[in-house]
Amino acid sequence: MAVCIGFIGKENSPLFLRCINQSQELQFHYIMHTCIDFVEEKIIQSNKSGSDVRELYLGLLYSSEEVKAYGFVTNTKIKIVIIIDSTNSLLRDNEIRAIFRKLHNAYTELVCNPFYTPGDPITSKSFGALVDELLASSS
Amino acid sequence: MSSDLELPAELMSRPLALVGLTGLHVETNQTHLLIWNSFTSSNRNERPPLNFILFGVNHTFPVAKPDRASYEWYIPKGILKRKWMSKHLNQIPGVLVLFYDLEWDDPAWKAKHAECAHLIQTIRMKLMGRGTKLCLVLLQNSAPLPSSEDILAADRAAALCQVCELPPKSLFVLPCRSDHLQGYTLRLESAFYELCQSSYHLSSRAIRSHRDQLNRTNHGYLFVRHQFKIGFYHELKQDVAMAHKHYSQSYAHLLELRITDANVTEVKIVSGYIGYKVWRLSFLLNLPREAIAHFRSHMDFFRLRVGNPLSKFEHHAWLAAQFSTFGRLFEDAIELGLPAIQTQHPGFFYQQAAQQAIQRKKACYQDYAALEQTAIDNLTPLPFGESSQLEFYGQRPWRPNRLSLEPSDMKAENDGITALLVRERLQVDLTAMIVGALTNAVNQFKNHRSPRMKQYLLVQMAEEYCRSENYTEALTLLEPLLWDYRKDFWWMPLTSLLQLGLRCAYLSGRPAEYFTYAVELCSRVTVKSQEEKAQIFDNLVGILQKRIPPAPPDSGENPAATQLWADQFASFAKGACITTIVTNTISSFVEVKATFTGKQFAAEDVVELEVHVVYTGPKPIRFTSLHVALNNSAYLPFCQVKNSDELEFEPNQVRHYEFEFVAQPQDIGTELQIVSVTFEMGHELVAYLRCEGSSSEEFSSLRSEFPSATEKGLAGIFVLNTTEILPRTANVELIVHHEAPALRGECYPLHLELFNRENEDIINVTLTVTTSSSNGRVHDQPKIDGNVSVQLKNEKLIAGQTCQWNVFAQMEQPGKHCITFQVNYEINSAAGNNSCTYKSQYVKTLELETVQPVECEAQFQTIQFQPLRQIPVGEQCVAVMTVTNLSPFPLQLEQGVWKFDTLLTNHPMGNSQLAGLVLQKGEKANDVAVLSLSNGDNRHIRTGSYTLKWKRSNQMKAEGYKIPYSASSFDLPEMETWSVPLRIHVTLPAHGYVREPMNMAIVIHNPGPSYIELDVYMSSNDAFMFAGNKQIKIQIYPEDDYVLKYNLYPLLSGFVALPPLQLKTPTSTIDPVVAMDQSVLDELVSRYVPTHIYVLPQAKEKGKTNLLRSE
Repeated sequence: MAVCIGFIGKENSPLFLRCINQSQELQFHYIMHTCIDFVEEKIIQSNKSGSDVRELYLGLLYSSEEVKAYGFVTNTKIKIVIIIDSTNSLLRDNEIRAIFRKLHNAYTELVCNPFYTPGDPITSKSFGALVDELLASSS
Repeated sequence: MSSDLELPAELMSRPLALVGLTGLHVETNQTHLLIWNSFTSSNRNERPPLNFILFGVNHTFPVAKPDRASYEWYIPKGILKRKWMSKHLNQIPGVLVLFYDLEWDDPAWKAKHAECAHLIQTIRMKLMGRGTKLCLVLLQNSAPLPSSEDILAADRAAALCQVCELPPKSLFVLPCRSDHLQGYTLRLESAFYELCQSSYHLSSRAIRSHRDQLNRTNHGYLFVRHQFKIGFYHELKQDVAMAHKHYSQSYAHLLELRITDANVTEVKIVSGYIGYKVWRLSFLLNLPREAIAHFRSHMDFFRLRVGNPLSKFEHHAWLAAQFSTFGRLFEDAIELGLPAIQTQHPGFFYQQAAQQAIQRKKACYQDYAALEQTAIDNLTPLPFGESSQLEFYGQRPWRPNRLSLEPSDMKAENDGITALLVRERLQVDLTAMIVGALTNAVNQFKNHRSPRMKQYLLVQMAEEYCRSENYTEALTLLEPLLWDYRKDFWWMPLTSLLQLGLRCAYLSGRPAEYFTYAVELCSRVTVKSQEEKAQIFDNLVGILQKRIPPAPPDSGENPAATQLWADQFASFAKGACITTIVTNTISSFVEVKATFTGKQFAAEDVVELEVHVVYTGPKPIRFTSLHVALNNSAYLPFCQVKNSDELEFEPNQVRHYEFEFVAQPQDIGTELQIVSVTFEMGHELVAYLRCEGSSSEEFSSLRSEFPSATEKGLAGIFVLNTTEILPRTANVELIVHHEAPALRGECYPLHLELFNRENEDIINVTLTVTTSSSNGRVHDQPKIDGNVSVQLKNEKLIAGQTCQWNVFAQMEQPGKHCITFQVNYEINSAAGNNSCTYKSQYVKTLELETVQPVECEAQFQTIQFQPLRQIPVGEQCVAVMTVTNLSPFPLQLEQGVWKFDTLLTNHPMGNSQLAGLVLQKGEKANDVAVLSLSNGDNRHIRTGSYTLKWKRSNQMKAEGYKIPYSASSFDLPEMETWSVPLRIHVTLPAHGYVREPMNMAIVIHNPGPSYIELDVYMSSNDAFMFAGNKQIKIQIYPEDDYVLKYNLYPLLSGFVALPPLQLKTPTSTIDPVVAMDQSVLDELVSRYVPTHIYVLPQAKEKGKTNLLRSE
């Protein structure tokens, strides 16, 4: 089950983080931060391959005993990370893709809001509600 | 059990086939020692993988248990026996070799061969029941003969084999006196290796044969044990693939066992051992994925099998050991060349090992805390032996050799585990284990490009240090981590780290660190409630009043820490500085922007400086003072605020401070820079918050990465942290009078007028005139040999007065030239409150157009002013110079000076024809020189040059100086010379009258060295009748003349054509050299012989004839 969803800005600052269990938020902040390592590496790899059209979905970033992290990078270098409990084997790759697509759409809509400055931490309530809903539905 | 957690050495070492050597008396026999050394000497790597052990002849080997006929009633008491592996590695050889000194032709052959047989028999008895193979090596001194030739040897060998009951292949001869001992031993070794392999093969077959007698219900342990043993035998014979297969099977059998609370520890320990073998061999077989997958399923299977709830700490210890073991195997494999990737490397396993070690510590501390003190007191210290003395791996010391199915004694069980727990809590250094695992993980993540994962691990390490009360280490680790998280705005981790730092600083009694962390925690960005921040803020203000902060909420009163703080405070004098915090590298609660109001200030102006401050702390604050430090400390008194009323801030208040000062004279021309802005806090103790930097970006306090200030008040304030102090603005005017354009090469007067518009007198006035172009010159006298620049001085110029200078410029090239006038002076002026001498500078640039004054065109002409293409030798000709005035001014010409080549003789003409002439714009004048070329062949010559001296004619009335003439020089064109082959001179009256005869003489002169023959034709025409030779052939000798005389009778009046003369080279001329080109002759004629003459009509009375004619 997805336990945490995070958005990371293009300069690697956290934009938004929501997790199911509030008491673990700090730990997820740390984990989300470590995910940047893997995202950056994947981006370098895909840049090396030289294809113009980059796949936004990065797939599995890494898996540890406790969690698995999946990554997604928009064309504006906004990183989206979904963290899943390692014990969960139900969530398939294409379902994760679907969640990423929804998150990407939600982010696009957010950026369309003229009152939101890209790069600032996201405080939009409707955006938060949408992420909460996705977290709840995937668990 | 903790000792069983570590893998036994015999498990970890690479198994080598064991070869026992006996019969070698190493101590007494030199040859035997030599042989022994040759087996055990170096470079083992290149030799068969064997381990040699020297046994005495009377050595007793471990006795083999009698083979069980039936396993029907046998119930195994454990899984793996502790001694079995080391027994086969070190005690029971796969091959035992007896060395015996025996020559084939030994005189005592009979006795010796019997003794030998006896020895073999004895050994065989001792190794009864083992698969050990026996070998006999005869040590001989004589060199061996080829076996086919040595019949005696063949016979005796056969006999020996028979009596010893050895196959012929197990009998060897070692010529021990040979020089090639090493070679022989090498061959022996490979023979032993083969024998070992077959020996171990047999042993493994023997074990496999038991299988049919086992049943699954009772003999689960044996399935595991037997497969393990087979695997081990294969490993001994270096068959890695088979070994791997059997170990895997063994492991599979292990998982099939029924696991209860009683045997779970044993199963886990053994599974770790067998797993170790499986993983190691997988890596060896280059199957890393298989190893990782096997390890993962291993962990999944056992993760939740804790067993006795009390032994949770043991379970975590075991898990940690598994992860760390696998991590090390993985790392070893990488060292041997296995490529690892960022997402799959040993670091992850070390990380888990650390995680489990942390869990272990946690469980241990929790369970220990839950124990009743009486239970601990009543505990006899470990009422059992060490687990390492037990027969089986992984069994409980208080319950050895007990069948797992037997009901266990709960009391003994609990007591035993409690005793272990107590020992773990009191004796084991858990922190070292955690830190060790974390260090391993950190190294791996660093190697695999995961800096942030590394940071996370370091955070955990710092936390562990804090838990284990090693605060110094914790704080050391923390310092760089804070920056790592801060720079990417990960405020929540940053907050937790600051919290940790605060705690460590409190517990280790460090006011400076405590203060620093508290300042950052109070800032806007940290994820803390206002109440918490307010509390922290109170604490930090309290520190400055020597008040000991309260203990962190989650740790109780700590008298030791309180004492440390009291000591620290006691050591500070009143007003001592506890710390200086550089606020622009952290996110503090004051954010500062300091800027000059302009990029430049003039020396006499007041320099303005603004400081904008936002305070984002949780509670009102009152700073003691504010200082702005510039790179010149002299301004410090002007840039400080000491009135603390002005330094009082409400939360989120913005204040602006303005400072003014006058730049000091020595700073004129330099840059002033804001070095730092410092707030002072506190009275009892003092802390400084300093914002500093060397560039504008750094100095904007918020380092662009920190978005904090953008939201409050300071947004959009552009920071200029440097300003330039310019020299005082000059207030003088320089007027340049001149008559443009300048003429090239002339001495061009510039009349300068400096007007002092200052309110004061100016002194030490210097005017520097500089030409920018390299072809220009200036001079302060009317001369034409100036320099690039000239300096003019004036001691003093009274306010409102002017002073004047003349400067003369000379431009060597036409076009635009720049002349720069720079006026420097000093003035005593009162700027601000104090009078001061300032230097001022005034610069003016003049663009000067320069034009060409005259144009000269030279031409050579005949004496009759016909243009000449070549200069004839020995004749007079003229050079004509046409001078044109191109300038807009009338020019007065002084003279034109000809300068001819030495070949050309000039006939002086007195004064230059141009002297004193004034040419208006566009007018032309000619200068003529007559010259002759004395001698010369046909060639090009430089004819010479013409220098014209001139000046403007309207400059006479200049003020007190005389402008010299300028000279313009022109080259005359290059010309060809021509030595004329014939010279013709015609004598003819200036004019004739109609019908009045006149004489014409044509003198033809031969100037050349050779004889000339010519045909002369004189044709008649309408205008004349003539008498004389009409056609004649003439010969002229060198330097001789021929005269042709004619009597002309003009018939018509007017400018009439003379009868044309024609010269021709005779066709009969034999000598072609003498013959002249017809065209040359024609040219000569046309040049020398006049073609026309004026014929006047007759006087009046003679007019009749005219009339008659007209009739």
